[in-house]
Amino acid sequence: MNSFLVFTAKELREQLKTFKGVVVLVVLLIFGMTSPLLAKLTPEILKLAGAGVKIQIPTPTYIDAYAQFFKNIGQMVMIVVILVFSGGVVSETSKGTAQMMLTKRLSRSSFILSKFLSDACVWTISYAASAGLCICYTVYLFPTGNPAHLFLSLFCMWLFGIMTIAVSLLTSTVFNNYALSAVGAFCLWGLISLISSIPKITDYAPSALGGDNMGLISGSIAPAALRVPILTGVLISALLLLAACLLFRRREL
Amino acid sequence: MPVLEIKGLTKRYGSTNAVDGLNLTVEKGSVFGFLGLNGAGKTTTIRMVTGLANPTGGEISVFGDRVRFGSAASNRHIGFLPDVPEFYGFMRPKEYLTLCGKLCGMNSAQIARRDEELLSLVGLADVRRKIGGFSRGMRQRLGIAQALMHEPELLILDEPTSALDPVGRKEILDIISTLKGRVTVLFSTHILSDVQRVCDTIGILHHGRLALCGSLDEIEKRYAGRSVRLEMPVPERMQELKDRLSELPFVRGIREEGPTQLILSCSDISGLDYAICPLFARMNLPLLHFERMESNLEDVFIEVIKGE
Repeated sequence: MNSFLVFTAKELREQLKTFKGVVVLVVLLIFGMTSPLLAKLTPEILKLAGAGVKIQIPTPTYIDAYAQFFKNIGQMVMIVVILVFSGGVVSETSKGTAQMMLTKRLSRSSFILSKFLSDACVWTISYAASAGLCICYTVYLFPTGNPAHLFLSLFCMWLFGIMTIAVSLLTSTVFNNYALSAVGAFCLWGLISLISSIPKITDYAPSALGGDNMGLISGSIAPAALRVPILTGVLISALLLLAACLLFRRREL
Repeated sequence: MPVLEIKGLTKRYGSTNAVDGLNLTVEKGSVFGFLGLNGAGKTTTIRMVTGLANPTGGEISVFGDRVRFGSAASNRHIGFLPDVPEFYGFMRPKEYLTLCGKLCGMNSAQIARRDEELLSLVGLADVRRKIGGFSRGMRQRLGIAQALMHEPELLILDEPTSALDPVGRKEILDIISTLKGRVTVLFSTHILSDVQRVCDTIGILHHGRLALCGSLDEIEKRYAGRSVRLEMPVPERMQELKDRLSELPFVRGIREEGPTQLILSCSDISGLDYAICPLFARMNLPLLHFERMESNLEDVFIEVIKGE
């Protein structure tokens, strides 16, 4: 347990010192800040772009601000998360720093779980800051309106991010170089999304965590509908982590 | 009690046997030179001893604890320096040693004491800059410090001098010399002069098997007087002479020293005494110099490798 915490602390320091965590934080803050702003300014921008042409655009609301936010986080930010975190294990094993640590009293499972915990911490802090910024800006720019199930919706996207980190960690454990690890993570991520779109599976699939957020906010989807996707999201993340630990234990370094 | 005991260790990659039924014992307090050509299986053996690679067969025990692949349990006895040590470049030496100490379960007081001792030992006490800017020699020295952090009973150094300049090599060998008697050292290398300088016991690994093992003194005595220096004044006939000498059944190795001199390793030195003058007479060559020599480790190594 002690070596796990020691290595997790080292991981968090590394995220800061090598700017990996800073990149994730900055990207998330940018999207948290710009999403409500873009929703507010889109009609003006379109009016300026289409000079002389009459464009009918409905007045933006808080719904547009959150829609922009969840769209950005669910797509752009997940790509950044995969690019940043899919090098975690592979960079250490290919360079040889992992071998130095694993010949101390650090177990291989602790090595993997420390990486996961530190990535999850960076994601959680960055996402919380981004979501906080988005909420503040949205309330400021669109004072009227009361989003339904906002925090459940935010929690679902957070869990979707955690699952993405677990995907990145698994491929980082399996492959021997960063490029393969990142491509592998995109493929696995895409595969989970693809399987999620099969009609009989859709209602249970974890893709709803990153896709049904606006339904929750607008009230068109009941919170109970997300119960199973949350469970499958947690289960898949745990299975991906377990697979990463087992594979890493059997990997020659 | 043996510090390290290896029985029937085998490692196969496809159809290649990197390590082939290796039996080896390292006794407490020794500085064991683990010799072999590049690709002989030294690093593979060390990776299996440290639990980083999975043996195809055989057993390894360190202080009686069986080494299990993927487990760090037996590493509590071991300090390990890989051939190319890599560190976290954003850290400073003291921070890295502190991390190692914490991972080994040491308390803050122990870590502070060892940090100071080891950084002085390896000459990095006054270095404040980040490891990312270190030279190779500095990295090797820090590597030794991290390996010694938890006061291990067995220190495993995988080719610690092979990539260093003469000054860096000397520094590392000096550090190893200071450890004699305090910790058992397994020192893998293919640089024979390094072994002669710091080791008291050697094992020569060839094609994954232990071709020779014993104390350096014993081995040098056993092989003493089995080398001969010859000199003849016709360099253009050197190749012809080498060919004829290599046909003699007791000549195990021939190497040139300059254009007119040869060093021969022999399994039967008296056989050569009788054969050499008739051979030169038949070839119509003058023999300027004939001298029995004390064998050095290089001769022993070449003879063992060739004899295999």
